Amino acid sequence: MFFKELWLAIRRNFTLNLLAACLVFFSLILMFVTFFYIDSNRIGSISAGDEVAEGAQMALLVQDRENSHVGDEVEGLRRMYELMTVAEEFDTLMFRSDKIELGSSFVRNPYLSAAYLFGDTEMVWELDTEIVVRAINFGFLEHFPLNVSQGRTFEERDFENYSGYIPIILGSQFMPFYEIGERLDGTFYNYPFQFEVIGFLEAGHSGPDFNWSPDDWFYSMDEIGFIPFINFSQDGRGSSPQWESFLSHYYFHLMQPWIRFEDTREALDISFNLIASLSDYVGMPMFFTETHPILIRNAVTRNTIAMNLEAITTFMVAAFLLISVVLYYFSKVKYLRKQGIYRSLSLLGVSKYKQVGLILLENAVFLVPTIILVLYYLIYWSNLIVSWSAISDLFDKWEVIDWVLFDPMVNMAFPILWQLMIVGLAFYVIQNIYPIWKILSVYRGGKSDA
Amino acid sequence: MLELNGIVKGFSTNGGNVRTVLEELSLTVGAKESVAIVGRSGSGKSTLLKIISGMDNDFLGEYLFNKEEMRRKSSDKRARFRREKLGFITQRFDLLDDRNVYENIAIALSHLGLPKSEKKQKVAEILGYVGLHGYEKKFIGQLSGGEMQRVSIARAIIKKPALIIADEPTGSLDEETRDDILSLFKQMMEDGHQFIIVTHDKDVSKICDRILKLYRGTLINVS
Ligand SMILES: Nc1ncnc2c1ncn2[C@@H]1O[C@H](COP(=O)(O)OP(=O)(O)OP(=O)(O)O)[C@@H](O)[C@H]1O
Ligand SMILES: [Mg+2]
Repeated sequence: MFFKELWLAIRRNFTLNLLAACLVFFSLILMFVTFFYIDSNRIGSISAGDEVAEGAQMALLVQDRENSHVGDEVEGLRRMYELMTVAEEFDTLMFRSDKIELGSSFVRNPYLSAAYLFGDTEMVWELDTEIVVRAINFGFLEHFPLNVSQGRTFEERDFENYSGYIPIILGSQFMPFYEIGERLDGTFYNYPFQFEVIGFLEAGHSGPDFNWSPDDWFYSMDEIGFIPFINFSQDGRGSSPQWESFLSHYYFHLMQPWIRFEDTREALDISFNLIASLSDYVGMPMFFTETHPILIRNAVTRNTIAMNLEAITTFMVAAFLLISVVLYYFSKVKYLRKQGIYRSLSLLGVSKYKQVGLILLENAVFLVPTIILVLYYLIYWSNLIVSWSAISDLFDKWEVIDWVLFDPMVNMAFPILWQLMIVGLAFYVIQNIYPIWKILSVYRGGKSDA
Repeated sequence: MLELNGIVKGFSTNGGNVRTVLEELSLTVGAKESVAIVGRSGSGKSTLLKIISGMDNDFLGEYLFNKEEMRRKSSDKRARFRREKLGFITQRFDLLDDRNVYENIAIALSHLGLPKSEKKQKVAEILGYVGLHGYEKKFIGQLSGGEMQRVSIARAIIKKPALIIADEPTGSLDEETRDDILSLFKQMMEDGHQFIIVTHDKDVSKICDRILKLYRGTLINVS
């Protein structure tokens, strides 16, 4: 019965229906493509970030150099690092953004290079001699795995001993210009090293920046490299002033780790007490800067959406197109079904306002799911902000009154609510255009079918 | 008092031409007068009734009902005219398939704001008149053609409208039932209700004061 009417509705205007069929096809393809785009490894790396944020607290450790009374600073830092790495009470995530200097040779990089645009990848030289790298430890890798599209990722041994070169994993942008196994000569903290390319990251891979404000926590790793934080204590190279200076820089910069522990008061106390006694023991005072999981969670969620926003928007537009076309036919069939009733009621002297009003009322049903969805999102967002007392704690502590509340709510929740509202309303309107237009033409007494 | 002057009505054909159905048609029906309209199939009888009912407002000419120009009225006013002054028995019955017999008939009373018990009583009474006693709960799909026609008649006359227009009101009825309906109509005419009946049936046209024939777009007197 429904299909018979659908067929009737389709048969009436061939060109229009051909157009509609094309639209359906187009939007289906668009949805298909964007669906897989959204479902790419981006989500994978974001969810790793989620895991860190969920049920965990992070704190940044910084050495208090002024009050340091350790004789050999490098040795102190190194011992501190080793002790922290074996502690089970917390995880130590070391992350340092730096550069390696390639000296006389230029970085092979497609950016701003006209030659690359014309396909001549051999001739591309950019006037840049530095590669931005992130030095990480194994603890970091465990929480934020690096997905490689070629070669391999770091293994535990890469962090433990130095075998004459520093392995480097490059972002996907470098892929056309470098090869796996290629050795690059460069300096790191002014000390010459060889770097061996061991892998290339997947395109679009993103990772956390541990920025002080988690606002822009995630960034694209396409244009940077990763090197392991190697513990050079096993390295038997003799001491030279240059090497000592390197080690001092190296350990000083790298010993500013984030520690990650359970999101409870006890875990925080235990971890901080442990670090305090370790630093006492080593003679290397450290201070902590506590962050709050809400900030991280908000940042993670924000980034999940921000990174996929483009794809999600396209997906939504495509879905909306599809739904519009379907609803148009739905409303046509609906009219065909009720045509007799509309006409009979008009015959009996029911006014057009009443009939149109009845239709609107009937379709208010379509607004109800929309409202439920909107409510769902409201609740979802208010749940994200875990507890209001925690928020007010934060207000005092961080002075972020207009940050925590307004940023996620205003920037994200409300646009989504609006989108839902608009889509819901559009459902409602499109659904009714055809029947109402036809009913009005019945009352106009024009070319009605009767 | 109903007056049609120079009514022209056409339909555009598939070829893009306009086929004129009513051409300079004029008709004056005095108050309380009833007329029968006959004519060949396709001559435009139903089209004429649609204009009289105010359902079709897309025509040229002048249509006065009780000295009021109908064509200039808003669709809402015309709907109100149908609601309050007109009973229309259409050729296709135009019943509401999704409702039962009671609801189909009671809908004609809805604007009067009667209590439910009174409505029920009125519907039962009118169903008795058209020979459908106890049919209230039946759905339209369960009725025969003649029964549907009688529901349509019952719906048109239940509110006792000033003007009743009927398009082949007895087409689906047997002689005996037809005669019952005709005596009902006659009684109503005597009570002062005005009828315009389109019919092929001589016995039906006989009860009217005048018989007109729709021929080549205009009406001519045959009696
Ligand atoms: N909506 C319409 N669009 C196009 N042509 C129409 C329309 N309605 C009626 N016609 C044409 O107008 C002419 C008159 O139709 P109408 O229904 O008034 O005839 P009728 O006299 O009632 O015939 P019958 O006795 O068979 O009921 C017919 O030729 C019909 O095809
Ligand atoms: Mg007809």
